[in-house]
Order: sequence, then C-alpha cells, then structure tokens
Amino acid sequence: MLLLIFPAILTAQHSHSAFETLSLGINYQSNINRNDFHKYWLSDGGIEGYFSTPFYFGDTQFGMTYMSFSAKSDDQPDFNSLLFYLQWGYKLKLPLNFSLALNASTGLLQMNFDDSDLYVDPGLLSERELTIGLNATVSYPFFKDWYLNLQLNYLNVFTYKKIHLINLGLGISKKFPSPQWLKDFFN
Amino acid sequence: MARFKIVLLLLCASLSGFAQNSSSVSNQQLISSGINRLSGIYTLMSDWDAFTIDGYRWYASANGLSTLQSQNWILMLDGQTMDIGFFHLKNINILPLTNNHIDSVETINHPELFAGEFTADGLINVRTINPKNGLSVSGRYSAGNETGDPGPYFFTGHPSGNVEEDGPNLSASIQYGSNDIWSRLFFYTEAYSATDTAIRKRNPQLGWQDFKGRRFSPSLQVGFNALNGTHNLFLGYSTSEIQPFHPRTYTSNDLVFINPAVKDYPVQMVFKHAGINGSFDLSSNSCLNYSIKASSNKLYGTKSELDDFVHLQSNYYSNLEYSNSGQVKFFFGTGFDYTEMSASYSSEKRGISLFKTFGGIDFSLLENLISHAGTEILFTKNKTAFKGYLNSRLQQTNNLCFDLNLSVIQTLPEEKNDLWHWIENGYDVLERLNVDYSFEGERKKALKFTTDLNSNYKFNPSLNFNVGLIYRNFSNCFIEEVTAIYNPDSSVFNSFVIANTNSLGSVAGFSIGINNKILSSLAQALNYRFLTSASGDSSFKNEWETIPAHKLSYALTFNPFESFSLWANLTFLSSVSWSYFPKLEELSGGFYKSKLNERFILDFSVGKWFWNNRLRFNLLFKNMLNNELQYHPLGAKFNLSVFFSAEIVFNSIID
Repeated sequence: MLLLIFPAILTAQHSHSAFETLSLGINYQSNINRNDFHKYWLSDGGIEGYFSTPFYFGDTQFGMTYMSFSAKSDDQPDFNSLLFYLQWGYKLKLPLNFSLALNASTGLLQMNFDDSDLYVDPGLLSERELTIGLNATVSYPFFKDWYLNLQLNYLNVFTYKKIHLINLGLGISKKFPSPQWLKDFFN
Repeated sequence: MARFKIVLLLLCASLSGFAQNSSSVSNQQLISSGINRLSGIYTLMSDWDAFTIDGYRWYASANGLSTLQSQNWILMLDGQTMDIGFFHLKNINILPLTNNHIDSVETINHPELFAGEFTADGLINVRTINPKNGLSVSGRYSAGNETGDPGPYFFTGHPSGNVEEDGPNLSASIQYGSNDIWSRLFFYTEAYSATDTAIRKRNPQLGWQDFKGRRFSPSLQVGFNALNGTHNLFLGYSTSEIQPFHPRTYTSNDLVFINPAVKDYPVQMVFKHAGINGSFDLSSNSCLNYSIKASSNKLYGTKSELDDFVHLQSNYYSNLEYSNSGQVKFFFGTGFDYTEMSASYSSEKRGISLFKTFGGIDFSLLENLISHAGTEILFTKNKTAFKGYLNSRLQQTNNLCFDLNLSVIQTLPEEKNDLWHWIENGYDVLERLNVDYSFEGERKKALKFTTDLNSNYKFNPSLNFNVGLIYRNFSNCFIEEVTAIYNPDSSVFNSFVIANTNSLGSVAGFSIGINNKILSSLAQALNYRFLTSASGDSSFKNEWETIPAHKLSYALTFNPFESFSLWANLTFLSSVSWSYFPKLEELSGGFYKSKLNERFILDFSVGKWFWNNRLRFNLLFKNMLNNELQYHPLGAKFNLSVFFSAEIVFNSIID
C-alpha cells in the first residue's frame, strides 16, 4: 500500500513547490556529547554553511561544516574536519509560526591530521569517510524571510570504530524566491 | 480471432529475436542503479552468478551452464567478439567503455547460435548508444569509498587497516552522429585498490603499491551505412602500464589472482582489439552478416620473482553468415578462429586453428508452436566437435507461453583456450609460479546436455509471471582440484593441484520471477533461483558448492519524474563452501573460513539530472545493511560502501 501512496503524494507535491525557493543559512555548531572518541579529542566548535530548496517531496539541503578537534595528549594529532553533506527532510508547522524540520543526511567527512610530531605514512594524514546524520531543526521567522534556527544534530562517521557526535547548532537563514535560471537548472 | 493473433505473434518472432531465455539490462536500469563500472552489471543479472575477490575483477557463470572456474562465456560489443580473457581471467572492466555509453546489456542464458557464436556457456552482448546527430561531447567522473577506515583512531589503541577505495575514474568522449555515419572517440582512466586485510594478509611479499591498480582505456568506434548495409568498426586498447591524468605518481599494475597458486600477482595486462562487423542486404529478406577481428592480450610480471613471465596471446577471427528472413527463415555460415601464444620462457610459438560451419532454421509443426533448430560443427587438426540445439515456443494463449530449449554440446579442450590448455601445450605457467600439479588423464572432449523449460504468463500488460526448470548434465568435465594449506607462520598458502579431466555430474534447479509495473513510474521485480548438483563425483559436487543454491533478488525502481530516480535492490545468497582449503579456519585462527554463510545485500541508489539532462549526479550505497560481505573465502570483506558519479553531456553542440 505504501508503494502506491508514496509516489502519489510525491507527484502531487511536485506540481507546485519544487525548487520554487532557495534558502541560504549559516550555523555555529557545538559538540555536546562524550564517548570513547572524547577520551582523545575535544571539539573546538565548528561553522556550517548551506543552501536548501523544496524538493519533489520535502526539502533538500546541501552544505559544508568545518570543525576542528584538539587532542588531549601529545600521542594523538590535532585534526580538522570538513563535512560535505546532502540532506533531505520534511518540515512540520508548529503553533506561533514555529516550524520543526526532521532531516536525514549523508555526507563525506574529510579529516586532515596535524603532522607536526608524528611519523606516519603520508596517506594516513588525510582520510575521508562516509557519514550518516539525523537532525531536528526548530525555526522561527524573526523578520520577514529571515529565520532563526536551533538544531540538534546526530552524526555517525563510518570509521572502523565508529565516531558518534551530537552537535547543537544555532544560526540564521534567509529565504529567496529561486531565480528562473536556477529552477531551469534544477529541473 | 485469438488464434489469428497467436499465429501473427509467432510470425513476428524473427530468427535473431527468438531467444526465450535471453534477458536485457536497459540503459535506464544501468543509470538508475548507479553502478560505477561495467562489472556492476553482474548485480543486475539475476540469471547469472558471480563472485569477486577484490571488488574489481569478477568471475561469472551463466544460468548454471558452467561452474565459476570456467570463464568460457562469450563477451561481445555490438555483436563483435571481444577476447578480453587471459588464462581463466575475464575482467569485463578491460572493455574500453563506460556505462553511460551503453544502450543495453543483452545476456543469452542458454545454448544457441548468436551472431555466429555458439553460446555454450552463455553470452553477454553490450550494445552501445548511437550518438545523437551532430557533434556531442560527454564526460564522466566516478569514485567510491568503502567504510571502515581507521580515521583518527589510527593514532590510538584502536588502529585498523585501510580499506578499499575506488577511483577516481574519469572518462571523456567526443561523438558524431548522422544518418549515414557515426563515431565515438573515447578515453577512460580508472583507479582501484585491493587493500583489504584479507588480501594483504595472505600476500605478505607485496608492498602497498602492489595493491593499487590503474587502467587506461581509449577506444574508437565508427559506424556507417555503405554497400547496402550497416558496418561497425571498433578499435580498442586497454592497459595497466600507463595512467594519464592522475595526480599520484606511484607505479601502476594489475593484480591478478591465480586460482591454482592461491596467490595474487602484480602484473601488467595490455589488451588491443581491431574489428569490424556488419551486414550487406542482398534482397528485402536476405542478408550477409560478417565479423572480422584481430586482438591481442599481453600479460607479464612486474616483480623480480616473475621477471621471466611474459605472455602474448594473439587472436584472429572471421565469421560469415547468410541469413534469410523470407517465408522460410534460416541461416548458415562459416568461421575461422586462430589463437597464438608466445612466452618469454619458450622459444616456440604455438597456435590453435578452429574452423566451424553452422546453420539454423525456423519451422512450425503446429499452428501455435514455432521451433528453431541450429547446429555447429567445429574442426581442428583431426578433431571434430558437434553442437546442436532446439528452441521451441508453444503460445498456448495470448497470455501464456511455454519455451523449451534443448542442447547437446561437445567442447574440445582447444576451444577453452585456458591456462590448462597452454600448460598441456608446453607453456608451463604453474612451474614459473612454483605450483605443484598433476594431470589425472588426458583432457578429452567434454559433453554437455542442457534442458530449459520456461513458462510465462502475462496477467495483464503490467504484471508478468514466469516459472522455469533447468537441467544440465556434464561428462568429461574439466575441474582443477586445488588443495591449499594455509601456513600461519608465513601467512601464505602452499597449494597442490590435480587437473581432473574426467569429472561428471548433473545440476538441476528451478526459477520463479515476477515483474510488475505498479505505476508508470514504479516497477518491481522478484526473482528466485534454486540450483544444486543432482548427481556426480565429489570434485564435481564440490565445485558446484561454490555457487549459491538459493538466490533471491528483489528490485524496486522508482522514476517519479524524468530527472529523478530511486532504485533499491535486495539480494539473498545462500551459503557457499570451498573445498580447496582444509582446516582453514583452524590454521588461520578463524580469520579465514572456507564456508561463507548466507548473505543479505541491500543496495540503494538515487540519481538526479540537472540542466535539462546535461548534468547527472548519482549516489549508490552498496551493502547498506553493513554486514561483512564476502564472495570468496580469501577475498575482501566489504562493508557499507558509497559510490558517487557525475556525468556531463552536451548533445548536438554542432549540427
């Protein structure tokens, strides 16, 4: 039954909203959880930039998050990470003009290790790994098409021993009508 | 009226189209599935079994027509035979072409004559897309990464080995199309690695660079209408020796697994091909089909221990066929195939000449029964081999039909052109690799009898149901019986091989398939196949244990909009076991296991076109359940992997 209902909803939504608007946003991200990973590294915080647009069903978002990590001991190097991600989610309207978006994302986390003191194969000083993420974002339009966004973000990095990060994000975004050339490009 | 429709339907079945047990992977399936290179098609072919050791080189078997040890199935490109095989290796990725130029992949899953070739072990025919009118250019980038790298934990007490990466793979083409002539100039460079711990551990003699491979594959294709016919010229080249446009500078090689040695060897492999095929129309219902080609494969070692290990295999092939599609449909033809081998450690060049004549005819014994019979007689020196088949289709009603394929096939050792054939002819490859072996009798003419019975019922235009039975009987079957003992101290295998020339047995099974188009944008397909050895000696039965008895696949394709696609495929493979490795689990401390348990493989792909179909991005997630997926006891253990591809196309930029 789901196989029949989902395509119908998707097709209906497409006719009026896909790629009609474009939002640009920026968030500050702070890592708030503690696990095995945090025995070795602590996050110095990060910054996220993204753009999003309504998709055939729900919304899609492409973004980048830069975050640096400081080692707690000299035995491990500091490193910085750059996450390129693609996200898809669905927005629910809440009372008082608030909205809640539930999103799933996948991305590639580029990790660059500080090579100052450790002698290792140069190939290991830069690593890329797949990530899967889930997040919930509460948004409030504080001025015309400007939005204040509060985000709780879970990220699973698929290294051999997995890295689990929970980040709290705060930021703003601005929604624009998509220019025709961009709509043509997306379609 | 219904009877008239049935007769009409049968009359429409031409000789070439009368292949009830053939199937096709469409361009849309190739694109929706997001497979990043040609070997990915095996995951889309439910009638074929395939395994890989390193994720790049695959071994395939068509519909129970052979074991996975024999790689004698035929590969064609637009009906032109492509001899990419060397010894028992047949890496389809050597074909100088990428998925974005493929119109469809046609598979023949039972014995019959196809484009002058007898498909005794099955056939894959890759059909390319004709370029659009005018000048077009395209480019493609793909890369993949298996999860499970050490990441920052490398610097802690939780280090782990680096795992596979795929790419970057880059291709570009310039194409020209018109009514009378079309061409494609194509360049492709690809990179891959086999750095999984399971492979590295048993090859301690190799350095990390040896596990990295590169390949550069350009080709030129020209099609034209002339002399009352259509012709297709293909020039192809593929080498692991050079790799242009790649930033890293380490040396490149190919890494081949030699089954009797149970070891991987860094080698260079160079493939060259020049061929032309086509047809001349003689009248409105008769034509002359031809195919001529010359190709060569070079394989040589890159390590000092294999410095005297240079092999060159050259092939010259021609085929001529007269085809009549008038009131009586028939064809007949003749062919010549010459393969020559030279090796650095032998002063002699030896060759095999094969001559063949073949023919086939359509006939109808009953109003709703059409049959097609064909035969091939092959000669070499003083030996002869006969191959024959009968295809029959009973169109019971408009919706229900039954297909029967029967075949009797004799195969000469000379036709196999494999490692053991060249060993018998004085090229002692295994001696160079320090592998002990013995022949258990002289290699004889093999005999195979096959039966396929399929019924197909169309409930309605969007729901199709089929059931099939298969039976194969083999005698004088050749099997290399490998016994390999793992040495835990050196981490290598010491092997001994008995070349069993006289194995026999039979396999039987059945299949069920449902194809359903739920909506115009949503389709599902379910296929189940059971195959097991029904009788035979122990080496025969052991070899068929390497093919899963149960194979189930469920595919869902969703194209809600022209520019957006979702695809998912769930495959179940039952357990397989390899008798080659006694006490493997015990000797390797449980690291290697000669039996692989049941496997569930879930793949998911999402694709989106942009800019009016000029730009396409695709993400493919393989093994989403993130089980440790293995196809061979000594092969890589694949975790969840992600593949990305981007393609840009500018069609008809100059008319």
